[in-house]
Amino acid sequence: MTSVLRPTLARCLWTTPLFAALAVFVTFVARSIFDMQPVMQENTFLTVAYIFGAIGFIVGIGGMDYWFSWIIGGELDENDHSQHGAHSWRDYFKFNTDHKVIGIQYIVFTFIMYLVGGMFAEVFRAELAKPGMQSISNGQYNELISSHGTIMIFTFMVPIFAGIGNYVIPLMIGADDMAFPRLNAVSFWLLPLAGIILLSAWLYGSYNTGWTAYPTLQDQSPFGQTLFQIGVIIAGSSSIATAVNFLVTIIAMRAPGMTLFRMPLLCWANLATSALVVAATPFVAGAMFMAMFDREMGTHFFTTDGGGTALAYQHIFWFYSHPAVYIMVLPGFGIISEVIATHARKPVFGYRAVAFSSAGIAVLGFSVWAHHMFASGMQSWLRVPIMFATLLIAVPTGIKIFSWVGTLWGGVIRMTTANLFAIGFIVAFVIGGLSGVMLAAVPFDLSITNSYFIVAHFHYVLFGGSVLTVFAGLYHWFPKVTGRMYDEKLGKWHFWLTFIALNGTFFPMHYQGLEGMPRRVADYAPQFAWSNTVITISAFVLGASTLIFVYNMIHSVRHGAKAGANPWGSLTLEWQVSSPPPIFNFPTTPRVVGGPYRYGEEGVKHAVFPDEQPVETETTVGA
Amino acid sequence: MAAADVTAPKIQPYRTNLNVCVMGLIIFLVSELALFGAFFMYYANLRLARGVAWPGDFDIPANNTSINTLILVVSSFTCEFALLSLDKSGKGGRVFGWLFVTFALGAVFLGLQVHEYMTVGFTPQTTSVGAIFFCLTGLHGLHVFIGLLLLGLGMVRAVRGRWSPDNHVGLLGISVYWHFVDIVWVVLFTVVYCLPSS
Amino acid sequence: MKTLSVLPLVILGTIVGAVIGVALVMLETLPEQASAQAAGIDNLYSAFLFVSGIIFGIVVLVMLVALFRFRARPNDTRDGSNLHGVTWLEVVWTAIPFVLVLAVAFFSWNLLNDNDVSAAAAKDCQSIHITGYQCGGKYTYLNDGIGIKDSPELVVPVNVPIAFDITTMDVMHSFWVPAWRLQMGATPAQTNYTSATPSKIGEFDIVCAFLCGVGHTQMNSAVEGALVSKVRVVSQADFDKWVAETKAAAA
Ligand code: HEA
Ligand code: HEA
Ligand code: CUA
Ligand SMILES: [Cu+2]
Repeated sequence: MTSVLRPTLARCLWTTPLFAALAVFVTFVARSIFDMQPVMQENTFLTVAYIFGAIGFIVGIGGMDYWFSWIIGGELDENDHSQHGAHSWRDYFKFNTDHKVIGIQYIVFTFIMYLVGGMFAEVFRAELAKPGMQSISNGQYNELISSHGTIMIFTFMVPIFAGIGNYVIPLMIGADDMAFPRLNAVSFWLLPLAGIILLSAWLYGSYNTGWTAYPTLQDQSPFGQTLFQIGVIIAGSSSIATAVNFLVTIIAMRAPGMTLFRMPLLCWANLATSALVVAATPFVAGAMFMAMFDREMGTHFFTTDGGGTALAYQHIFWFYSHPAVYIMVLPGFGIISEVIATHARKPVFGYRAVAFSSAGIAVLGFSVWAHHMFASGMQSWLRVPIMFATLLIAVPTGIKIFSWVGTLWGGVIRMTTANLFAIGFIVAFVIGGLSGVMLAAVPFDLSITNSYFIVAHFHYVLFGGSVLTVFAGLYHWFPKVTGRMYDEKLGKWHFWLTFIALNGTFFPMHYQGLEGMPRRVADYAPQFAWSNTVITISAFVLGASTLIFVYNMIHSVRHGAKAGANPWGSLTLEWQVSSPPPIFNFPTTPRVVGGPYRYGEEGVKHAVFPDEQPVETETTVGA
Repeated sequence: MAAADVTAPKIQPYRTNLNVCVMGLIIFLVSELALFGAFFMYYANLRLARGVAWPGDFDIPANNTSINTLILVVSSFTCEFALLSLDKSGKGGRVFGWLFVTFALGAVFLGLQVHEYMTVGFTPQTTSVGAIFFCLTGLHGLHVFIGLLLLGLGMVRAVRGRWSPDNHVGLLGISVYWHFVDIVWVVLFTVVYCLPSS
Repeated sequence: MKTLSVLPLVILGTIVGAVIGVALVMLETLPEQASAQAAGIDNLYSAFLFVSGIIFGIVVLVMLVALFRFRARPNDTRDGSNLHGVTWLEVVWTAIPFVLVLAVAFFSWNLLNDNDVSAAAAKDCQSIHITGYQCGGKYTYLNDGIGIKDSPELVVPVNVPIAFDITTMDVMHSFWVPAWRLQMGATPAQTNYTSATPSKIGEFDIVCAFLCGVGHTQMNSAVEGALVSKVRVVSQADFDKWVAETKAAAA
């Protein structure tokens, strides 16, 4: 009985409807008082019900308990750790303030969303397998690709890096937790909420305007489009909250001796990413709010009548969504630095250059948004400066790529699955990056934009780039998180199938685009028949390869060989504690005495614990 | 993970010191700024790129609102006085007083803003100009409202004598927030009310 | 020095990459060039492909060789060298891409200007107003003496620069003729401009590449049940004839 009063999912079962009902009631009363006709406006009620239901959910799960008692001046125990750490699987379904638990919650949830988004892709790929319309109508096709893109980006790619960062970063910098553990838990719980809302749009006719949801097309969509907007706003709030947390954690909670230039590169990458998130994400929220007001309140921000301007939406949207593509890849770059350095047994080549290039990408990332709008009739003077800025981004990115190759050169390279994924990432990302550079050239973009060439570009950078880094990271930290080894053999199968199928799926798309196949179509000219068949078959293989991964992970959690604290012989801090780490991370506060990647030097350490002999030996070379 | 780990953490997990919380708040305010930025971007697009005459057929009451601006600016100072009047005795009387003055000024501001909405003669639905006007001022009004709630909170805790020179992070946070709301308004007032013609 | 032994590899990678690049160019994957602007854009693309091939070749070749040369043997517990960086090398690999992208940028900028200017400067250009809607396109000929309004079919004379102004009645669409290497969006409540000089007689596909609702798939003259028709490029004489016929039919 009490479980409906204590902060649990069970409590959500009544707080969510309660908040929703109250909001609907208040809206009804307000509409009646101000005599807004018609009073019974179904969509308005649904909108407020969803928004306040979401708040009710957060209250129910326990997101507000502590703050609420602080406000009413209740007794607060600073040392109450009852919500901290997991003692059974049930604790993963609760409001938990342990960054390691939250990290796992994030990773598992977002990965499920990846499978769901992937399923959407498989369904519409089946439709595309041969020309002509088969089982899916045009409208359903649009709904499927919209859900695919939205789910993949807002509930998988962006947050899964927050999940990996959540688990690893506090350990890496020698902190006991994130700076704001409760905020951290709230930002996680916002995410399933966003996922449910985005998926529940299918109950209300879904949304069918792509993940970009441009007006004025979005004005014609059914109510599902509003849920898209609410879902994106909630996912965005979650990102912002996590980013604030990361920034403060990395700036203020480093262990003694952990200077900025002794931080592992993942921390640098997260620092840059979080700055991007904080400064960029509110823009997409703004765009979504305005579009939602247009739909549900009859304003004229983007509509043709009433003096609205549809182009403004695109400016605001891309002002977020271009930085967002770096939000979706910079943490991946950080993971690659960790993985390659550890498995090639060598310091990252040009540590400082790699660290600064993240910052460079983050800054440049704000000046290039309009390269998505070359063909949408924006101010033509804007095109050339934007092209220059976009092309410049190749320079810092190149520094990273070359530095990783330089790291591999002269190492002792262990071909673990994690490392294989890192290497596969470099190959695929270079392809995707180079096609991006082509698109940045205005005349070329104008001849090809909105074609499958773009689809090829962004899957190479998103799948070949970000998703492969995610796999590299998951394999790399799997022994740390679970205390067990994964199955290397299955891992290699996973890698090779994924890598081959990924090229089979996305490489032919370049040609389709060049030859004139537009994106977002359910049917195409007969000349594309065979290439589409190849793509669809590869896409199925790609889906199947994912199942190997899922099996490997689930099986190894229980049956894998014991991994020990540091199976890779890594120097960074997270590997210096037991696997999985103790609930409060470090039994004694570590002291950092040198750079994180000092492989190849006899007897040096990155950090020492008080019971060890301190060896303060800063090397002369670089970090 | 044995349960024994929980009982004796050597490192205090929930470290809260002034820097961390205020730093978090400031970073959060950067993202708030970006949220305003999204609406300002729309506004700029409307006026610069599309050359829409502002405020079009409407009359935006710059004169009345400059009084309102003054009220908000003054409230920023009174809020600062609350911080300055913290003393060792632990009695929150003066803190409460200044907070109350701030609260009252903020409430007057909000009231005048609502009055303006009722009398301005157009609605968010009228045209895009109306929509962005209401959105910018409304978003700011929402922040004032939240600021009022926070000030109320500060007053409750002041009455209970919870603020002291070494425990005033919350108070500092409230004043940082209030200053933010004030600064945004000054920018908004300049851009939206004071440059209306053409 | 270990780093120096990379140089031959870089040269080899350049060669291999150049071969890849040329091979990709030779694949002739582009549609036929049917406008005066197409050649320039295709050259840009080919140059890109060539440079990209080289960059890809170098990165991948050096990496593959590293993977074989520095592979750990089973139970190998050695560490790699403790090299933290080589400053001159880092400067080189920052500077070269920088110069490269600047070159690309200027090249593209020039091409953009050329394409814009050539159409704008042409005196006897044919102005056509395109209106997109859900789902189809209407073409209005603006030049004096033609006076065709809202034709469902686009017919243009060959070798005459054509200035399009494009708009839409409802949602965003776009006007894409892959054979002309030309695409421009149609944005609600505004008019976008673009231009092309058709250089080949024939019929070419018109594609709406911008997601515009359920009819989007069929706003492509190449698919089954197409709602738009192909663009017909004809000789000046045939064009005049078409104009006369169409006007007669309308009258
Ligand atoms: C992770 C995501 C990600 C990343 C990292 C990138 C990276 C880049 N993107 Fe991409 N992009 C997307 C995701 C991403 N993109 C998405 C999702 C879309 C489509 C959205 C939609 O419409 O739905 C898109 C669309 C898109 C467009 C718009 C196309 C159109 O709609 O017409 C453009 C145009 O300029 C572009 C350019 C670039 C560039 C220049 C980079 C650069 O950052 C790449 C830099 C990397 C390299 C260049 C490779 C490594 C460098 C070297 C080896 C050095 C040497 C190189 C040179 C000298 C060139 N992208
Ligand atoms: C991170 C982002 C991401 C990822 C990983 C992917 C992954 C894939 N994408 Fe996607 N894609 C986008 C982001 C992404 N995509 C975006 C943003 C768009 C643009 C949308 C728009 O136009 O608005 C897009 C559009 C897009 C298109 C173009 C649609 C169109 O324009 O008409 C296509 C076409 O083939 C495609 C295919 C695929 C395929 C085959 C995969 C494969 O990698 C998927 C692999 C499959 C799986 C991972 C599923 C595995 C699971 C199972 C087989 C069963 C288990 C399932 C359960 C238990 C539920 N995607
Ligand atoms: Cu019209 Cu797509
Ligand atoms: Cu971009």
